[in-house]
Amino acid sequence: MATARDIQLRIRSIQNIAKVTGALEAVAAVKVHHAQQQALSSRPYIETAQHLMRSIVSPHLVSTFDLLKPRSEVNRIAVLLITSDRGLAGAYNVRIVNMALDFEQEQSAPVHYYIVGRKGQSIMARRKADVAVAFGDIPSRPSVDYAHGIARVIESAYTDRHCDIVYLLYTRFVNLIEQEPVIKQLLPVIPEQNSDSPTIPTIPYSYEPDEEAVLEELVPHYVENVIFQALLEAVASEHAARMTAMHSATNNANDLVDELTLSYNKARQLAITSEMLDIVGGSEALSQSNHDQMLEGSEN
Amino acid sequence: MPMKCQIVTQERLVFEGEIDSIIVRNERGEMCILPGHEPLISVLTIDALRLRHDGEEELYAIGGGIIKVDGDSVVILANTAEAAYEIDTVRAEEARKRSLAAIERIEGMRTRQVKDISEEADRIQRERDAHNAARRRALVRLAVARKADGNAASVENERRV
Repeated sequence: MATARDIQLRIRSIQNIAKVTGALEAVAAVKVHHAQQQALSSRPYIETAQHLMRSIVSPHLVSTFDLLKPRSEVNRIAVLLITSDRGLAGAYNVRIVNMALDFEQEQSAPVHYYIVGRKGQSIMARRKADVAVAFGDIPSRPSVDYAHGIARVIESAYTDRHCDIVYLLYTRFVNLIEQEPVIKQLLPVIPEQNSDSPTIPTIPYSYEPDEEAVLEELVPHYVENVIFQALLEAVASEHAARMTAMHSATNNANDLVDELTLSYNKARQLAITSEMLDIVGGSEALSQSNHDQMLEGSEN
Repeated sequence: MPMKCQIVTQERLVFEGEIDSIIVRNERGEMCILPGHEPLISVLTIDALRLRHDGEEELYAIGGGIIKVDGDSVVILANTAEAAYEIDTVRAEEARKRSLAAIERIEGMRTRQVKDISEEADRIQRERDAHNAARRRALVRLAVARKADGNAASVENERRV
């Protein structure tokens, strides 16, 4: 049986852990909020960009654009995988990596990876996946410039025929409790169909200088934006996952402290009782021997 | 009749509101868009943009982008966009010097290179274009910040200096 002191030490260390997890939870909550805010403020751009893509892209134009035209033969598949730098976020990284590996299993062509985030990099290296480029750390506040850098690397790999199709894998932010890993085709670009407005009447726009020039300007920014959005959602999801994980860690720690406090009280009580028994037993023994002496004296 | 206008970048909504007219520039030159303009999609150059509403004019520095006009609404998808008062002139000045130095360095490289490997030349050309664009962005920002009617004319003048 542990002594009261041992238990007290354990309680203190668990209380300290609860403090740390509680702080991590609070920090994550602030960061989720920020990431959500950032994602929200870039929404008008996406909506218009998607609208533009849908109104411009015609079958005739698709065939002339490398970034839009599906390749007849897919020999190599690239996956852009977005993970986090740090753990303590529950199953966040494991889920997305498992999805990537499951996806790889289903493909007939070889798959190689472009990875954002240190965790993904180390997990994929351990699983012996083919990593073409590891971009390293994921910024805590992803910027357009950062997304731009990634987009250029991937686009040149695509145009140089290092891959024939590029998928994007990231964790979609549903809400604070739910985040789900998703897979999207990045290249060749498929203009996303907005569910709200399935058929917009096509307005006969005039183009200056022409459709090709507009598309040439739009497509790279569109790709960049898809990556940028994925980064924002991934960051929001990471912090939300960490928040949930740290919340339950704090709860568990508190439960444990409660339980240990009970055993501490018991152990303390036990110690007191046994001490008292010692004292009482001792004094009893003493008075017993006095009594005996008295009896012996009276006999004489 | 005013028209709705939005200037958006990937990061934020820069301007939203009702305007009377907007003046932008594309490859072919300056154009003024008034309510009821025909539906148009065009590529904008790195330039100043002018909004007029309630008799006032606002200047923005645009780092290229796309404009979409639909009757009574104008949306600008800008690569970068700042209102005149938001521009950090010190930073823009530094960017101008930096890009100029880079351009000069590339020019120097060019004259030295005798063997013209096309791939290398391509890469250098791309790099040069990027620096030129950076320089132009910086110039437009400076011009807009100075409120010196940031149209291309003043930008052109600056270029010659």
